[in-house]
Amino acid sequence: MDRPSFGVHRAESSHQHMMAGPATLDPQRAEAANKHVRALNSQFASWVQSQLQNHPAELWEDGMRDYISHASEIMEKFKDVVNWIRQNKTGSAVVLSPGPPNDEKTISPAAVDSKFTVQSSPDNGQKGPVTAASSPAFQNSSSPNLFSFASHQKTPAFTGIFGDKKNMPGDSNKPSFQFGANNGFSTPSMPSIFSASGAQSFSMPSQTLFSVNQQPAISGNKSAAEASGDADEDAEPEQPSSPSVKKAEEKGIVVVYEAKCKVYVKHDDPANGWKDIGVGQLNIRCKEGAEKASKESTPTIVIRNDVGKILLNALIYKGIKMNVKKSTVASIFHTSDGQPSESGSATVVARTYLIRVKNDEAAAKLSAAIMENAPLE
Amino acid sequence: MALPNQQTVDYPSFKLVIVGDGGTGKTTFVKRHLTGEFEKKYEPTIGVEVHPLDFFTNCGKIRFYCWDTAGQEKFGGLRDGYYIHGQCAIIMFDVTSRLTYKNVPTWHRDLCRVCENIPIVLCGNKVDVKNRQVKAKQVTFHRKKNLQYYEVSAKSNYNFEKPFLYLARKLAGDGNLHFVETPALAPPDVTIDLAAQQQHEAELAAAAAQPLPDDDDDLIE
Repeated sequence: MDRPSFGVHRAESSHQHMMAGPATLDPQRAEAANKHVRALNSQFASWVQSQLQNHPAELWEDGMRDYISHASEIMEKFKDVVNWIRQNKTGSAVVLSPGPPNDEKTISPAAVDSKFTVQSSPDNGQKGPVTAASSPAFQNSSSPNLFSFASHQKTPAFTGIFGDKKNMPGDSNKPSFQFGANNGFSTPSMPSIFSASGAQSFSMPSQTLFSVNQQPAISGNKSAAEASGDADEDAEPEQPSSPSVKKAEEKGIVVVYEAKCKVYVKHDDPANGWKDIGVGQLNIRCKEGAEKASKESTPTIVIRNDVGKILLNALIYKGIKMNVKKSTVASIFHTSDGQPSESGSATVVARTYLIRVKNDEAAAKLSAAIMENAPLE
Repeated sequence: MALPNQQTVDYPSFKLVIVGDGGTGKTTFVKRHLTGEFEKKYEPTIGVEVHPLDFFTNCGKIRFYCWDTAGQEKFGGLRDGYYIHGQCAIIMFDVTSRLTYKNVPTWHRDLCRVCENIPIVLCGNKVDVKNRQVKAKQVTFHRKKNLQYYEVSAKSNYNFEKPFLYLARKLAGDGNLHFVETPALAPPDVTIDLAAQQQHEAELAAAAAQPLPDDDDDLIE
């Protein structure tokens, strides 16, 4: 519906342009372009405020890209307006240049006369759009000179806009509708551009500018997405398991090394090789304040599983020996027979343990950490 | 309800019934918690084996008497007798075997006939295996029956504490209950004399001669 109308409009504009020459501009087109740019800037500023509040520590690159993308769409959509402004700009530039030739001087008085007419002529309505149309081009341009020119035009533009509203109230409805269409077009692309939270933030300002007809559709999409998210979350409980065990703070103990590992113990029956004891978190702990690699520091290796249960709790002793092979470290540790967490009536048993870590490098680090903390005397 | 041969403990204890088809990993799962050991060889459980499992929580120590039951019909014995006075339960199926999931409703029905209104966790085991037959999205039984569902792996220890944490919270009536680390008492002192040192070197040499265990890629991260 909108597209055919837009096409027809464009054709008419092109036709008029050819007939009238560069001096003539379609007021309706200029007005629409102006409103599009204002709406885009307004939404963008609102989004920036929202980002500043909710995501101050994130880069807002996606939003910047989106703004440039929308700006390009407006430039393309209102190519006729942009072209007219560029030609007008050329004339202005000539005016500003020193030592104008005679022919250019002829153009210059015309421009001056035009401005004078805008200020005093009752035909203000017709000139207003022309002045207002200047804003989009300059806002889209990154040239400092053009920006300066835009500033110079600020007051006349304001007057023009006011006059325009007064003279053509009916015309204002149509541009709003067109921009609504633009909003509708750009909204679906937002979720794919932004992260989830970013998309939510950016779409909120848009809602304030949507017409009543547009808003329910957006709400529907959003709730559908949320429902889908909920379904996925429920159906896929395979999130990485968060630790269910709270780490205990022990006074006077320093952890000098930590690693994730898997523990094996040598089978009593040599034919069976290694017995898998499970995956756990390895800590090498020393007494705080004691001298490193001393007996007083009682360096201890503790490995706990995901429930906090102790898989290995043993001293690092003087003269400890190790085999490092691939991503494993083999060594002999002394533990109490029976439950590791119970002390007292239990005999000390020396067993050969194999500790597998992430890679060869981690194995070397573990071995070095044990050697560095082993008592010397 | 302590068995005659079980010593009574002075902290809360609960009877936990573990059911499910044979070969789904019930015994392996329990043993993983008991000794940390992962038993690869499959030996069907005959009748029932009861294992006490202790956990340390922020509310103190807690014990589950795990009634590890036979999954296979021929070794079932007096099933209802095993369920009686059950205070919580785990129904285990194997995600690599569609049939074991199809039988979950039967296990649930038999369990609920004897134990009414007890917290139950449904566990899909062996999620470390790549060729799984039951996708996570296909598991829906727990929603209809108000069970909690966890995907676990007794082999890789994935989520292996979650079923017990859920049950502990339900039984304690405390949603914020969590496990704490088992306290590490002072390890035994080590005195190495020359003879012991030589023995250690000999044992390490023998250990070095042992082939390394299979390099499973189950170390997370």
